[in-house]
Amino acid sequence: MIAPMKKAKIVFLKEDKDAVLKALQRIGELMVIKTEESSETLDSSKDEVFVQRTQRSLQVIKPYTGKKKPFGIGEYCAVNYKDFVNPDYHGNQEILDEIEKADSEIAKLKAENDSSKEFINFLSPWDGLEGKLSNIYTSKYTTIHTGFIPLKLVEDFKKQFENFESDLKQFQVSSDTVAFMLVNWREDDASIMDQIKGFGFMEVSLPNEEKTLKELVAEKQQHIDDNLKKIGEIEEELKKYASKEQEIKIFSDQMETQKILKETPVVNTVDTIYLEGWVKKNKAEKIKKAVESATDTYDLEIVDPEEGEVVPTALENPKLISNFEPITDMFSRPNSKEIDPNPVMSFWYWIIFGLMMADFGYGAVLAIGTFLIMKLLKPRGMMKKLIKVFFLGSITTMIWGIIFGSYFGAEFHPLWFVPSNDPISMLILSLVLGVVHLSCGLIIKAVSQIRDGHILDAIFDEVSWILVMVGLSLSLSQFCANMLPTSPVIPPTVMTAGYIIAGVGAVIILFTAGRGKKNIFGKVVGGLLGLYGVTGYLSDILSYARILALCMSSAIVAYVMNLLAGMVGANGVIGFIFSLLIYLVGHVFNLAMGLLSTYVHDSRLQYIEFFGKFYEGGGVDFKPLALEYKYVNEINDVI
Amino acid sequence: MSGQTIAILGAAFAAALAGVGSAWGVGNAGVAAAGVTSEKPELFGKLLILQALPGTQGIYGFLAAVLIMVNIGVLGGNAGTIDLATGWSYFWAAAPIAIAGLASAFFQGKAAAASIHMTGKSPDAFVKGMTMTALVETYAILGLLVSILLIFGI
Repeated sequence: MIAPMKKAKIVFLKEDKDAVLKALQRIGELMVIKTEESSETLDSSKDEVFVQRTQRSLQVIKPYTGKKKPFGIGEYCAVNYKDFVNPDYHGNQEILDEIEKADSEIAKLKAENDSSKEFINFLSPWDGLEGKLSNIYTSKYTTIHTGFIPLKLVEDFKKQFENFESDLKQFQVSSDTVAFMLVNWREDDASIMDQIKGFGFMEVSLPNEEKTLKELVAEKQQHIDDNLKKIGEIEEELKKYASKEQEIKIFSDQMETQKILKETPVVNTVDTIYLEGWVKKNKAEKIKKAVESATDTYDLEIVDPEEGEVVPTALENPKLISNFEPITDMFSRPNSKEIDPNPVMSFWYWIIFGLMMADFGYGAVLAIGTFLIMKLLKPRGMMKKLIKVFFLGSITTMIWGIIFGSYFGAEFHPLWFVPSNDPISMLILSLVLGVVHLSCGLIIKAVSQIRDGHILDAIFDEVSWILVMVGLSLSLSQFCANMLPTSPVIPPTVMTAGYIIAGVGAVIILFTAGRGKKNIFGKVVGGLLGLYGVTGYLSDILSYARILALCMSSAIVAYVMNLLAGMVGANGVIGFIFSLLIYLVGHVFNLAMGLLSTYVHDSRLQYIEFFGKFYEGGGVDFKPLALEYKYVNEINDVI
Repeated sequence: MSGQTIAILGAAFAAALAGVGSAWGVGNAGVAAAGVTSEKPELFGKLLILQALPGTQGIYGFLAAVLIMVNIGVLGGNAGTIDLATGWSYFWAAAPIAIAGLASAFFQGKAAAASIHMTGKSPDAFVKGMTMTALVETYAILGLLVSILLIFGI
């Protein structure tokens, strides 16, 4: 059901602004909108900064929150309303400051260590070099070079050097270079360096320090160790703040709520505030009460939406159906003027879901899995509803599984027929379901046209097609029946009735599809074109064959897994273990792929085939001004 | 060649060609998904769904192959002799899913890659992309349908 909407216009004194807005936010029933006049919002950047800081800090302390119970059990967090709207700025800011300080300190120490490590790496090829580094280049009669030679040229390089009266000292060998120290007589230096040019000598200069290499490395290592120790201390400190996680989370939600409050668009006059917004018709009284509780001086007007105004869509469905709303919303939000497709869509989604999976075992696993996810992970919002859709779908999956006698791919006393042995029956079932599903879509369209007073349009455009589809299905019944293994005989009157029904529908279409055209030629062409639309219906109905394809593919893969497990299982203990493995992995894979395909193709049947017949969508979501919380699970005594 | 060999040839082509198509498609989509994930890791779950979509053709081909194997007794049954005509019948029965699976998985992979890029730019468009990608699969399903009906009809 799409809830009827009213527009609330409220005027109150400037000094009551905070109280009134807070009261409205508390009940969360009014969607404040920008009016055409100059609506203003307050600057919410400070709250935004706090939101970001809390999120950053939560990330920082996440590794230290430790000993988390699996799946976050027991993290349920409920806050009293009074506490929620009075954030403890001072305390929380202190916590955030400390965490941020610790975080930047750790980052600094880590960066220092990285550069120290790099330095040690730089020195490592010279391991074994004696003496203070500042002394190695200073010598009276010699020039000293340090550097690297590519590994593959080393032998030639050494040979070349035997001709010189120089000293060559080899140091460490790395993956592709060797470190060398060249000691040349000063007068030979230039010519030697010239001669070894071809060897790709890569000269480096070692740091000019009053220490030996060993001392330098040890010093840097010491520095790294010290820093690690400091990091350890800071992390120890952070662990203390980990216990504040809950407070930070609550603070984050508080700031988000304040931010939303400040961003509420209102019109400021000298002494008063004016705002308007949408409210569900049956909740208008609550708005009045909320404003009354905040101020005595106010003016509240509840009016009907004007013609042509964009009214947000608020859905009011029973809980079971509301779980399916995200599926429609992901396609497009219903607009406020049309019939809510969710009640009918949810039923069909539910039935087709089960038919596509159709295995009692998989249904049971899915039911247990989704139940555990709901209980342990406590998903919120859209995710929660989607998980519930899968949970509900598991029920039909089990039911169809029993009907088709499928238990983890094994056949056991089917109540009706087995799709993988009798695909024709399954195909006919799928297509018949398609005809009924499409007819439902047409009926919804017809109802909305009748509601708007266009009864004839409903008969011409929708009833006619239902007649054609049902009539043709009936007239084809004997043809289909012949393909069934049992070959039942359909009374010929059914076929005759089918021809007549389809004929009536076709005649209606032929004479009315072109009614929008002005001249007689246009009307004739329009009628024929309308009748040509039968191809569209044909492809729509054939599209339901995917139910058969998905049902069969999951059944056959399950059958093969059972077969493989059975074949391997005959070979002793090891065989048994392997067969168990094949059985588990195979069925989990099949269930996951089946679930994905079912979700996608069940949605597609709704979006393309079913919604294509009547749905407009394009509505605006009804988002009332409300307390915003993402970490807190519940706020007590809101109302 | 015996009838059985030709039937096996059909089964092999169904599984292999549809599998090649799916590998192609999933791989193509995977390249796009990896690229988007590197920038927006939070979209991983959605992108994975889009990436997996072209994978079903491989399963359909596998399904047709298994049905043929069961029917000719290679798998879990008594291997009777199959005459040449029946063998060729199985071969051609496998053709629709083999060819439609190959092509549709290839192009579905392209559609999936484009949808992945779209989801990367505007995550809300995910379901629209999913629906567009799923449209391509219809033809693999119709191919599979014909293959199944043929296999059961022989």
